[in-house]
Amino acid sequence: MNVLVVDDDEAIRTLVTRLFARRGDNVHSAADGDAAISCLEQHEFELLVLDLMMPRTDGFGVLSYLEARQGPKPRVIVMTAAVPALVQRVPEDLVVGVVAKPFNLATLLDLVEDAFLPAPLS
Amino acid sequence: MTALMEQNVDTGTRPLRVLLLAPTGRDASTMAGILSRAGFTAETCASAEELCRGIDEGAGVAVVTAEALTPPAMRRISATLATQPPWSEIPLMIFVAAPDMDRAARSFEGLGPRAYVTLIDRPIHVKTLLSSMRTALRSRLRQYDIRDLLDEQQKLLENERASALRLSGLAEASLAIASALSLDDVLQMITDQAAKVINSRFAMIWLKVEENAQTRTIWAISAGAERTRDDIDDATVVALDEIASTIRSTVLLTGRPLESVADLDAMLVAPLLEREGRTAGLLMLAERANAVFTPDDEAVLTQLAQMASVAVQNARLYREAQDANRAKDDFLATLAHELRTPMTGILGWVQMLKIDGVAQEDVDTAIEMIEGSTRVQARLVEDLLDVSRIIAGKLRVDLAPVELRPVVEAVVEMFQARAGERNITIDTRLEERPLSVYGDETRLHQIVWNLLSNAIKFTPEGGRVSVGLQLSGSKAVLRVSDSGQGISPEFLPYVFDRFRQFDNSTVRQQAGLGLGLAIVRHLVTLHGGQAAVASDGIGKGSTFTIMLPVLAVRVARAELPQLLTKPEMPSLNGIRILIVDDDDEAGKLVALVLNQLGADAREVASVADAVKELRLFEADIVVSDIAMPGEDGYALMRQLREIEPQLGRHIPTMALTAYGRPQDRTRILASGFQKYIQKPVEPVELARAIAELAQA
Repeated sequence: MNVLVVDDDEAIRTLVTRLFARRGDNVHSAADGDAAISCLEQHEFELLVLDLMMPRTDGFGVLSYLEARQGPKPRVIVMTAAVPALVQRVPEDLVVGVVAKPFNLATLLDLVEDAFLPAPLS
Repeated sequence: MTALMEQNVDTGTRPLRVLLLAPTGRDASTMAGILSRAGFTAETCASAEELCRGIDEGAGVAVVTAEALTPPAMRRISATLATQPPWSEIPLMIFVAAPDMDRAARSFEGLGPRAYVTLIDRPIHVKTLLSSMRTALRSRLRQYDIRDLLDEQQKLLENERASALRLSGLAEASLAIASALSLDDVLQMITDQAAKVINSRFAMIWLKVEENAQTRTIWAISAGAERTRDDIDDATVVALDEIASTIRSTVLLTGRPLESVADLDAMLVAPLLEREGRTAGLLMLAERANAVFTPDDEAVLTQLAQMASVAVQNARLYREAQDANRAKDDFLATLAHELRTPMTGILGWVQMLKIDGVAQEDVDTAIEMIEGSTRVQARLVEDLLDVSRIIAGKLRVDLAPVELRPVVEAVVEMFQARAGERNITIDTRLEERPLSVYGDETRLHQIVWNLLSNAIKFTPEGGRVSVGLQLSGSKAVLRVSDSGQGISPEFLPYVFDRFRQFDNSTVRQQAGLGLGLAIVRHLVTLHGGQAAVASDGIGKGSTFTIMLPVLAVRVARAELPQLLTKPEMPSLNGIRILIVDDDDEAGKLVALVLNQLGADAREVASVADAVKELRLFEADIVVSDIAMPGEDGYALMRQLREIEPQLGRHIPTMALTAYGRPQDRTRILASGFQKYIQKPVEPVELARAIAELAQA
C-alpha cells in the first residue's frame, strides 16, 4: 500500500520509512507539514503516519487540509511526544490510531493491522 | 464692675447690649440715659416686634415695662423665646409698680416657659437697677460660656466622626487591595472611598498600565457621579497626560484645569507613582460638598493614591509570577517532548537491529541515527545542567587569554554542512587584527555555537546568516544576524529569559528547549560583557550582538607569579605608574602584571579620576586606554598638559589601546603620547616599553 511518513526528526522519519518499506509498502516521507501537503496533492495514499509538532505547518495543519479536501482520504496514525491534552484535539473521523513516543515498532504495526481489518459483517 | 463694663463692648459673638421697650419713648430714653452713663450699651426699641428682632440678632438683656406687655406683645416675645437655642435664656427685666407685684408676676406667665424674668420695683432705684443689670449680664455671659463649650464639643465630635470615616475608608481600601479583587475592581473601590471619605461628588482614577507589552488605560469614576466615562473627551485625556507628566505630589488645581469635564472648578489631584517614581496615573477629586478642600483631604487623598499605586504594583507582580509559572509549565511540556523525540529514534532503531535478517545497510543507518539522536539528547542534558548551575550560582568560567577569531571560525565551520543541506549561506566578516579577550575558550565556543545554531534553525531554506566580528572601542563585538522568522516586539524583552521559547503553539519552530539564549546571556555576563538582541518584527530576521572587553595584557592570572622568573623580563622596581582604563578588569590586570614586576601601579577608571589621582600620587608614568566613554585618552592628554605646570614636572605617557590602524597610531602619537602599544600586549613587551619610558 502507499504510505506517507511525516516527522521533522530525521532518525524517526528514516526509522518509520524503513519499517514500512520492509513490509513491502511503497513509502514516501516528508520533514514538515508543507512538504506533506504537497506530497498528498501529488499522490494517493492509503496510510498517513503523522507527527504533530513540526516546524512551519504542523500535524494539525495537515489534518485540516485533509478534512477540507474532497475525494478519498488516507487513514491517519498520529505519533506524538506531546502532552495528552494536545492529542485530544485530533479529529476522530480521520485518525484511526495514536502512538505515544517512544513506541514499540510492534505497537505501530499492530495499529496499522487493526486499521485495515475488513469491517465485520453485520 | 470695670471688667464687666469693658465686656459691654459688643463683640459680635457675645453681644451684651441692653434692649429697652417702654410704652412711651420718653421712659425708654430716660432709662437709656441712666444705663449709658453707667457704661452699658443700651438700645431702645419702638415695638415688641423690634425687641424680638433685637433678641434674635443677639443681645445681653431685654428690659421691658409692665405697661408695654400687652397680650399681643407677650405672645410675640414668647414665640421668639421659644425659638432660642437650648443654651440661651436671655434675662428679661420687667419694671412693675410695687403694689401690682403679685398680680403682675402671675400675668407674666403668658411669656411662656422659656422666659427668665426678673421683676424690678418701680419707682426705680438707680443703684438697684444697675446691680440687677450687672447680675443679669453676668448670667448672660455664663450662657455664652456654655454655648462656646457646646460648640467646641460639637466640633470635636464632628472631627472625630470625620476621622472615623477616613479611617474606615482607608481600611476598606486597604482590605480591597489585600483581597483577590481584580485591579480594576480595587481601583473602583479606592475611587468610591475617595469620594465618600472626602465628601465629594466626583472622584476619578485614570491610569495607564503595561500589560503584555501593551498599554491599557483604566478608568474608574466614583459611583453616583453625574459624569461618566463618555463625558471625558480626547482633549481631557491630553490634559490628564500633561498633568501626569508634571506632578509628583498631591496638588490642588484651580481655574478649571479640565474645561471639558464640565464645570469642574477646583480639583485635588494625587499622582499614582510607579516603582521607578514615574507617574503612571492620577487620582482626582472635585465638587467637595459645601466646602473647599482642606489639608486633611490632601493627606487622605495622598494615602488613597499610595494604596492605588500599591495595588497596581501588586497586580504587576502577580501577573509576572503567573507568567513565570506558566513559562515553567510550558518548559516542562517542551522538555518532555524534546527528551522523548531522540529517545524514540534510539529505541526504534535498536528494535530494528534486533529484527532477524536485518540488512547491513540498515545496520549502518541504525548506528548513524542512534549516534545522532544520542548527541541531541546529550546536548539537551548539558543545557539542562548548565541552567541548573546558573540557577544555583555554580556556573564557573576558567579565564585565560583567548583569541576570538579562531573560535568563531571553528563554529562557523561546524555549521557549514548543516547550512548547506538547507541551502543557507553563512557570510562571515571577521576582524583581521588579533582580538583577544579574557575568557573561557570552551564557553566562548558555546556562546557562538548557540547563537549560530539558533540563527540557522530560524532561517528558512535558501536564507542567509551573517557572522561579524569587529573591534569597537575597547570591545570585541560579535554579531550574528539571520534572515529568519524574526521576533515580535512583545517577545523581544524576554528573549534571553529562561524557560521561554519564541512560540508555545504546536508549531514546533525550533528543536530544543529554548535554554540556549539564557545560557548565552549568563556566560557573556560572566565574561564581563553584554548580550543584546534586535529585530524589526515577525518575518524580518533578527540580530544578536555580544560585546566582550578586549584583553589589555596577554596573561592569565595563574601565570602572574612566574613572570619574574623569565630571564628576558626587565625589572620595574620602584617605578610609579598610573593606569587609566574604563574597563576595570583590564586596568586591574595591567596593574597586577606591573606590580608583579616591582612597579608601584595604581588603576583608575576615568579621566576625571586620573586627574584627581595625579595630584596625590606622584606617578612617573601614565598608561592610558584611548577609547573610553565620555572623556577619552586624548582628553586625558590635554588635561595632563594643563596640570603639568602645577605639578612642576613632565609625566611621560603611553597609550595602551585596541586601536590598531596606522592612522590611529599617527593620531595618538601626534596628540602627545610618547609610546603606543596595541592591546593585547605580551607582558614582556609591556614591561620593556615601561622601562624604556622610565629611562628616557
